[in-house]
Amino acid sequence: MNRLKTLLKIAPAALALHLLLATPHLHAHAQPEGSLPAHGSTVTGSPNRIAVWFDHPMRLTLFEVSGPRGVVPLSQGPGRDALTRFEASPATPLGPGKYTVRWRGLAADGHVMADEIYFTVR
Amino acid sequence: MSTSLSLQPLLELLAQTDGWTGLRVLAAAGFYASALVAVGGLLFRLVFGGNPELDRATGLRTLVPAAATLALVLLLLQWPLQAGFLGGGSWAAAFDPGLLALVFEGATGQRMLLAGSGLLLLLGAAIAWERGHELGMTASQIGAARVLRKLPGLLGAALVLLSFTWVGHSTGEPRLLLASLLLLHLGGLAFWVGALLPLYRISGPPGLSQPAARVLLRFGQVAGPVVAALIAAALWLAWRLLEGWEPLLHSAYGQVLLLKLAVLLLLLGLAALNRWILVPAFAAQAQRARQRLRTSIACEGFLVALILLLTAFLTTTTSPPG
Repeated sequence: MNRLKTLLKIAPAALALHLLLATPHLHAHAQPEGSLPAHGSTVTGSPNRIAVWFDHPMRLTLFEVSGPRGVVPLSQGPGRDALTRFEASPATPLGPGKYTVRWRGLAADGHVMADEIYFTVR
Repeated sequence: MSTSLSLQPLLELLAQTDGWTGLRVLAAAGFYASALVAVGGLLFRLVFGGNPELDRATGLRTLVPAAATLALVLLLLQWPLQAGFLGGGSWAAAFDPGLLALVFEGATGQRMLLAGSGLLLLLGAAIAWERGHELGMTASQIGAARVLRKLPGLLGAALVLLSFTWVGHSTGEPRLLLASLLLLHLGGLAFWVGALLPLYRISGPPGLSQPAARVLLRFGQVAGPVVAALIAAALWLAWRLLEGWEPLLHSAYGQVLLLKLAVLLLLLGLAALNRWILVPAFAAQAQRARQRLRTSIACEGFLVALILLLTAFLTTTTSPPG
């Protein structure tokens, strides 16, 4: 009976340990590494490409550029596939003013990531 | 190493925090609180239960299933809230099948399954505990029945705590060490948080003063090493995730963590006051000791709620800079 009691007491801990050890792969946590144009920068003339890149794959779900005339139409939207770099071109050249790039995504470790990048077109 | 403190990272983070993020933070904080109360309530009952009058006074008979049910609801609510945020912060995105599937098929879905199974087990165990009877059993059968009755609840508690290690930075290398320390931290926290309401309630009725004092004194003895272990685990995890102490001052994550540490210090001060002054005074039936102790435990509860809110803000809006 004592042996049964001991076994029943350690069973949850043993299961937890097994689950931890049996995890098939490690999830990497992605961090934004940079953007084009860079955060806080001023560019002369409309940029051809607007991009953001990460140190590990990220499933981007939102990539939105807005400026003095509202949301900027882009050549493509994020496809929700895991990628380390996403870029799109403005459908029409950006006029002078302040712009915000807003992105959101899901890292492989389940962490929801989001950021805003600001740049100015002169 | 620069030691100057600039609040710019924290202010930028607050500027980016919209209403949708606020909802996610509240849902996460509510989930943390209710899950920890359910797990901690079970632990309290296992460690300090046995006196029928005190058991009734703790209110755990209804508190544990109620907390487990609330945690289940908030766990499910976090799913569309996360999908909605990923889609730009709208209810249409919250119920977008593609976004819901994206959230569910990853680590978040596995965490939901683990936490959901654990909470259901806790709920079932809490109900079965009340229905169990030992009439006509031999002494050894009663012993086995009592152990068996505890098992589903313990397994449920383990699964709920384990689910917290399934998402985020504890999944990094070395996974076993990080997850074990997080489990130690959460187990200690659940023990502490889950004890607050039962301790508050049993210290109320004058007729229960003596058995309540025994439980309060014993809780103080057990909680000392438990709290020391949970803080040691938290400090090591913070150092490991921040890759040093400098980001405490220079990153939004570090600055919110500093706020959390400040509230934790206040909480430890109250806990020490209870352990060495108010509980001995209560046991000695000193004048107004009952009221002072109950006020202090209520303040502890408020500070714990603040810590859980800051933790939810930390995990929802930011990540370690390392």
